[in-house]
Amino acid sequence: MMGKLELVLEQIKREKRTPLEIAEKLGTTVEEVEGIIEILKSLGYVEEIRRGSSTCETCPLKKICGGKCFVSRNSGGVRILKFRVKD
Amino acid sequence: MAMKVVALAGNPNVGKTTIFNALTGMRQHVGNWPGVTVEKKEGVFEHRGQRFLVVDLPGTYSLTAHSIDELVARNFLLNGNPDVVVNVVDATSLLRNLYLTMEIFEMGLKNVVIALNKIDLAERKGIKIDVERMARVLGVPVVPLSAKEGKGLEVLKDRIWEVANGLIRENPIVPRYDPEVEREIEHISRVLEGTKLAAKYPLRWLAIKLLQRDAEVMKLVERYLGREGLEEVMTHINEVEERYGKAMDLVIAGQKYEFIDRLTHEFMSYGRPSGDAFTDQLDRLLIHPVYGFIAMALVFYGVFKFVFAFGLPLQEWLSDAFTLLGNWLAPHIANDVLRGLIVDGIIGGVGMVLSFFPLVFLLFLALSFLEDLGYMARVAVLMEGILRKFGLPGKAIIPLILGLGCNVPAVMSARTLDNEKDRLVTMFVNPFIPCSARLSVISFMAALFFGGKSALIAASIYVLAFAVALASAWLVSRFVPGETTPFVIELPEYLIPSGRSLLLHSWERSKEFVQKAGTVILLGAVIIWYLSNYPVPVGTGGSYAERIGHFFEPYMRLMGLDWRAAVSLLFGIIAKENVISTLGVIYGSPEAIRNAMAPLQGYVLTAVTTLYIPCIATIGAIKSEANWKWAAFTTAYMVAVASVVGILIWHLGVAMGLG
Ligand SMILES: Nc1nc2c(ncn2[C@@H]2O[C@H](COP(=O)(O)OP(=O)(O)OP(=O)(O)O)[C@@H](O)[C@H]2O)c(=O)[nH]1
Repeated sequence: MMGKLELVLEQIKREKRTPLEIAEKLGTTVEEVEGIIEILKSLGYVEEIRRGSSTCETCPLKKICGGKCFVSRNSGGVRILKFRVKD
Repeated sequence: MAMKVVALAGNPNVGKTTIFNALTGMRQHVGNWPGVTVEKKEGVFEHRGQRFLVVDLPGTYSLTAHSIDELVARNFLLNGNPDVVVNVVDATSLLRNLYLTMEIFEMGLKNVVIALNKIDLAERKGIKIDVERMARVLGVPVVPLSAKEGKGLEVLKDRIWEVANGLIRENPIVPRYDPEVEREIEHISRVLEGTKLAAKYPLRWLAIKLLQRDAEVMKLVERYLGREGLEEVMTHINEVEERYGKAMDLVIAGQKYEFIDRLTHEFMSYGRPSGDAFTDQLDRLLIHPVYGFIAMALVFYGVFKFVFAFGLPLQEWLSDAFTLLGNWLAPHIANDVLRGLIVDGIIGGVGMVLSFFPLVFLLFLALSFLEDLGYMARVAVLMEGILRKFGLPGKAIIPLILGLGCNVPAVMSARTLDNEKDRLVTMFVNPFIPCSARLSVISFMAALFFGGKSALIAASIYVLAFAVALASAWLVSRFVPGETTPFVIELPEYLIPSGRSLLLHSWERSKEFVQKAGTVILLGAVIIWYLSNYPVPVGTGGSYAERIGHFFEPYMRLMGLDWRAAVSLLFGIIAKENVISTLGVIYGSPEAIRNAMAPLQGYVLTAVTTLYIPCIATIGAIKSEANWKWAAFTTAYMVAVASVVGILIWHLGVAMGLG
């Protein structure tokens, strides 16, 4: 039998895109799914894509745009977690 | 008396800092953990005549060795010999918080106090926790707290004092796994038993970490037991994993979580969060494949309406101001050449571009608003489904949204995608997304030729651009090998944006537009002015501009355009705004443009400008992120697509009697 951790992982693999969709599928709360994702993240199964300043630092338009372009904000409030299959 | 050491451990954002400050007041010292750049905070407090040194550990969700934070926290708990460990847990999300607690218990620590924080918030959410029962089940003292309101801190200090002075006997519960896993834990424990390693660390913890292939513990075992000792254990673990058919770390983590889930039912009842139901329903609507799209179309149409309704009057006002400035300045400049350069070249060209600042600013304002509100994340989810169908990785939605501002950082951000295929395809379609420079061209043409319908016309160009981008993604992803990886998008909570930060961010973003006008566009306008006045003025057929333009004219005729459009597009390669300034210099005024071109021609030119080529900076970005070939291919492809689209629109329009 699969536990909740694995079930969440399974849903991510099945292209369920948001904690809300996953929570509905598994009959639990969004908070719990987000918590599980954090645990999976610390296990290394899910990686958060951080879009820090490095994109801006190396941008050829840095001088003109002063590094304050769209990138410097957290990508439209979109936080994306990517899934990595462990070897 | 020696100071007792208290370690504060917990998940991120549970209120550790609040508790730390409340305990230690001003007596703090901030430094770094040795050898790493993780912040180490220490402070002192006194209770019942005993001095305590509080060490704030980095916030983590578990104690694996995957991140430096986790390693720092874990090493301190293992080797730092704290007298008391205060494990701060968030009462509103106990399941994830107790995961860390169980990892701490598994380390064999028997001096833990649980600080059950945010109890006020939990009550508001309807979560009921029987604290006494929780303490009994977990086998350690539990202190309910509301650190923010300063409640419960004295009791926490009492418990810390009692544990530090050995007045409390703890019996922390440790997770139990299924019989097979337990058998393996026992087996590995036996192998390690009696070694020096076992004298230093708890056996059960070592065994579990080995089963999870913890890199640090593997190093420890190798150090104490030698290569062979480690290999012997690992061979055994390989067999176990083969039997299970999956990695043991996931099995153990999964079972630990189930254990916690069962445990919490003994002392906690979940409330239905009252406020969340509405936002969940809203989310369901906004990311729905049908209603979500209707909502999105309405929202973005509203954005254009807003931008045009407030922006166009301002734009006209600015444009008039520049004309007045030119008229006023002209008689004051004696030199013919200088007058032409300043009035026709600089004010006519750059001024025309600058007058679009209000529109650009308002677009950014509207986008920032949607972003801060949390709506853009919903759009991302909605679009993701479509992107995927067209062969784009869903994650490409970020570069695509960024592209609305500027394609250069958008192309660079494709770097965050997992694989080569995703990166290439995303970079390839990104230049089709109309950036803020093209917004000024689009709104200029829409306002000039379509008056009251300008919002609709502008929206249609955006739809066209996105459609072309998707179709191109679909096409090119057929030929680029590779596969994409799954992921999750988190939906942030809805927030009412603050006016101040909105204005600030919109200004920061649109500032670039002004700076560009003062540099690239200015230079372009001067060159165009020169080319259209030498060796003879434009209109005679002999100016450089006309000569260059005439070379391309036969091609432009296919889409109903002439040499003027050719020259504009040519200069638009440097920066898209140059299309406007070039038209301004060549024609002399917006009215002259309107009199010379039919609306259909205006529409074709707008569509072509939007699609025809990445600007120089974007080509450079693609080159540096991929290679020359990919940049050249992208450019050639865009020219081809823009030509086809231009020719199609022109001929369809003519056939419909619009020419
Ligand atoms: N409602 C409520 N909020 C609290 C309480 N304690 C802390 N908070 C809030 O929780 C948030 C996080 O608090 P911090 O003290 O910064 O948490 P932290 O654990 O140090 O966070 P990191 O620095 O991310 O590890 C802040 O917004 C606090 O105001 C509490 O008892 N009740």
